[in-house]
Amino acid sequence: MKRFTKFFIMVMALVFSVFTMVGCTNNKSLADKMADGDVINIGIQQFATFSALDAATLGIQDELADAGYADGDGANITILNCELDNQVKGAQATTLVRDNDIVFGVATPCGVALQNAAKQEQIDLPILFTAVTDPVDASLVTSNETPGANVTGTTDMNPVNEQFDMLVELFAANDGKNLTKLGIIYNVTEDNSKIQSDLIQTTAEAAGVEVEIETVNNDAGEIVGHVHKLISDGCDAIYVPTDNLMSQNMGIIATSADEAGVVTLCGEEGQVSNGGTISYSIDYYNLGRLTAKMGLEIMNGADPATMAVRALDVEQLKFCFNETSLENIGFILPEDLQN
Amino acid sequence: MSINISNLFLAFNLNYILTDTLKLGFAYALVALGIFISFRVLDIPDLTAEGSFTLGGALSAFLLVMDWNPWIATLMGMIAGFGAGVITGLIHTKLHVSGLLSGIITMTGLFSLNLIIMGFAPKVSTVNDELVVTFTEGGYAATVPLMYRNIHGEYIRTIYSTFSLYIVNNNLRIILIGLSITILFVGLLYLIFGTKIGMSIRATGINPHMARAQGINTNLMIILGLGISNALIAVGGACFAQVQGSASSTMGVGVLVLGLASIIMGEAIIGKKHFWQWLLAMVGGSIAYYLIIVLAIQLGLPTFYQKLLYAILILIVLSVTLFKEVLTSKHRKNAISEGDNNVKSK
Amino acid sequence: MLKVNNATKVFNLSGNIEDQKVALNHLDLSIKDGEWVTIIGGNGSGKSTLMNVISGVHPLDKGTIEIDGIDVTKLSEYKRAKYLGRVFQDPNMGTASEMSVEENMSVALRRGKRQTLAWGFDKKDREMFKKKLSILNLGLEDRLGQKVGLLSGGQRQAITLLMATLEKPKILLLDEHTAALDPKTAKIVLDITEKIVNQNRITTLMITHNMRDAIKYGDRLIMLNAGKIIVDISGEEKRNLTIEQLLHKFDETVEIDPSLILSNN
Repeated sequence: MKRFTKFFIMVMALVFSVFTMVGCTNNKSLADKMADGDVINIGIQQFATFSALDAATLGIQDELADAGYADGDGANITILNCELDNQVKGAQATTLVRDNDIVFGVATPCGVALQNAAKQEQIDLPILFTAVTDPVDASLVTSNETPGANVTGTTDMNPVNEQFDMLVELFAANDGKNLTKLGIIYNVTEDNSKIQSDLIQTTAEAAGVEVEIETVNNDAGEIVGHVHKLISDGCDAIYVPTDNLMSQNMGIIATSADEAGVVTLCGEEGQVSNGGTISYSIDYYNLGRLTAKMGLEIMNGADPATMAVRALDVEQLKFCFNETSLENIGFILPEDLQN
Repeated sequence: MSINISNLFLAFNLNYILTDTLKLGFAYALVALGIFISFRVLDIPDLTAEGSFTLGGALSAFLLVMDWNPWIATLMGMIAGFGAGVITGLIHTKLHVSGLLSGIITMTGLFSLNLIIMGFAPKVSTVNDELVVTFTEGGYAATVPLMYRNIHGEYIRTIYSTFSLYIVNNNLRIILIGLSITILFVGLLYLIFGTKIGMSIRATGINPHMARAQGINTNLMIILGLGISNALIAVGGACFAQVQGSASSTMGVGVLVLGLASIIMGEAIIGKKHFWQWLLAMVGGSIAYYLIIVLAIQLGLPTFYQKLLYAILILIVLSVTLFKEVLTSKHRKNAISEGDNNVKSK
Repeated sequence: MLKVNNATKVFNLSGNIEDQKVALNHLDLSIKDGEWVTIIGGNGSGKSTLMNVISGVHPLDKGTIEIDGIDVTKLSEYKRAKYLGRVFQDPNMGTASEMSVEENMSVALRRGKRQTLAWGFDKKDREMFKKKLSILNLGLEDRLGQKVGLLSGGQRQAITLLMATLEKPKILLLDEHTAALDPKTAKIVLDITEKIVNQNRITTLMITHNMRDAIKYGDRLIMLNAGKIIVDISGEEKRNLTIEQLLHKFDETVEIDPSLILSNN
């Protein structure tokens, strides 16, 4: 008799908790909320405090606000930053998918964390990522054209081709300077860099420019040797992709290149302000706005599964140059780039 | 990438090889001297190195952006490195944690501290001739670039800017200043270890029992020794950052191995019979080792083979030393058997 | 001059009863100025422990130690060093092998004095080292610059002995310092020991496992067993002692329960 009572109570407790949990799920769907003009719950998770990611988050918020969804006025916006901490990241993602109607992930780790959290909680909410270099590689989407599920967003893949075209233009505008050989330097342990290197190599070689690649073994002290090798092997310009190690050591790269009159073509703006010559850079603020635009389309009924991954148009890219570097190497800017 | 031996003889290339090696080589020499003190003199495998190297670079870089006198900024880096070594020493002696683990603990803590220090350095740029000073949000940064302006709008001066009026050639000036700093520290170390305290530190490392029996406070000597060791490594880091043009969170990666390899090479090539010889061996070893790295790069050796090459090289150097010893003792054994009973070792 | 009161030392006090080892059991010992005491006893009788608690390597669990009226019980090993000279059983322990003979001796010169940034040693010191080393008659005075690690065990013990007595210590502790040497070298070292101790009238405690030596050298003989002194002979009686008589005493072996020790007996 005692054993049966115990068993009965356990079963009742189990049944009770199942009902409670089920009852806790968000009842109203996003579509219904939009139709009824309810306040929408929006969540944003950012991976770390970097200027690029900060700008993207700001862009998302501004675009949403312009469409009538500002925090406290049409929407409740929760922003969480896991500051590179992988343990905290998962818990934050879980909270966000539970409490919101639509979420944004700023940088690949957050996009992935939100996707995983939604799967685990079995919640089917739209997830938008931004500042992700390769969404397919990160398994966020099945293909860039057809994401296939509830996840889509924008990529910050470096506009490598545009950058190369700009380089050609620069050389064309300077008599006596010829682009016969392009050097590339990056950290061999960073996959993103290899992707960019392969792309520009293809483009350059197709344009008849010789390419030489130097990889650094994750060691800051070796960089100068590799740069000098590229220079002494006759490179007219050196391409520096958006590589963390190179970005941290632009000083020595730029100094060595400037001394030899070699152009430094950079993957992004920060490298130019630290000494690189020119770049066409992703404007992360605009990228954030673009992402929010996609989110608004989804809120208004679009299907994320068929919404292709987007990137910024050329016009939205930021052209940047470093005056001192240009002076040092004796180059002038072509007219149309001077504005 | 084919191996380009012909390139080696181009004057242009030789210039790069020499200048690159010596510019950073002298910074690494300080690191080797520092690691020498902990690993060889104190016989403690202190892993704080990667943290204190970065600490020296980060702190001095921050102060340089704030327009401090570059020599004082470097000195501050050195003092901070001394502090890091003291912390490792305290953990080891007072908390009875093994030397190895103590160094790891300090190094781990320094990782965060260095990011925070670098976060204090503002970014300075000019927009329309006006100075724009941006402070980092979030409280940390992974880099401090030294290529531009300090907080007062002037170009950042490093210790290598000194004498720029008298020695115009940048590379030559950097090399000469680096050489002077190295000579200064080698001299200082020789003096320190000849003093009573210095000999107490040496005795502590060789035989702590004997040291205590002779009234030496071995705990204090260890703390002092580790402090000096990491102070040197930090100066190396400060010099490195000023040559490299930036301090970064990853600048310390690999310096421990580099330092140890330099010690091994130096001892094998130059020898350690006398203490002053041993000190010079540290300097010689680092420059030799870094030279090989630079040569390997210039010869076009594929990056992923490079580390294998260094490992093989160290093995070769070690076996050459062993070979030399075997040869010498064989030669002397023969001398003995020929009836000479009074073979004195030369 | 040396007063050991109620000295008790139990190893592994925090462990199980079976693992605890009573090394010293309420031991009392009083030694006069200039006395040379030889200490013998079986393995585990407490002789080395006695020496280690006097020198501060192990702290006492109960009891006190006074040197010349100064209570040193709480002082750490290196702080006591200024009163003591020590020679260990292991010839490698007394010197720093990578340093030269004169460097080792200069470290000993400073025993107990403040460590400073003054230069290690000067020409005057070197002359003094030479003189002292020549007394040993081992030719070491010509090898001042040589690394100690290259010397033989006997030579190293001789140097350690010299280092221990360079500044006359209040007490000289010799822990089986000839045990690791061959008989011929052991005799040489013991002769040197006798010369130095007698010339300078140093209060000496010498542990030895060699009963002949225990009888031959020193003014007083102590035998330890299970952490207690069971034999204490001096003067005429010691001079007339035979080895057979000593051997008889070795037949007593009793293990004592640790829990009885720490109560106030």
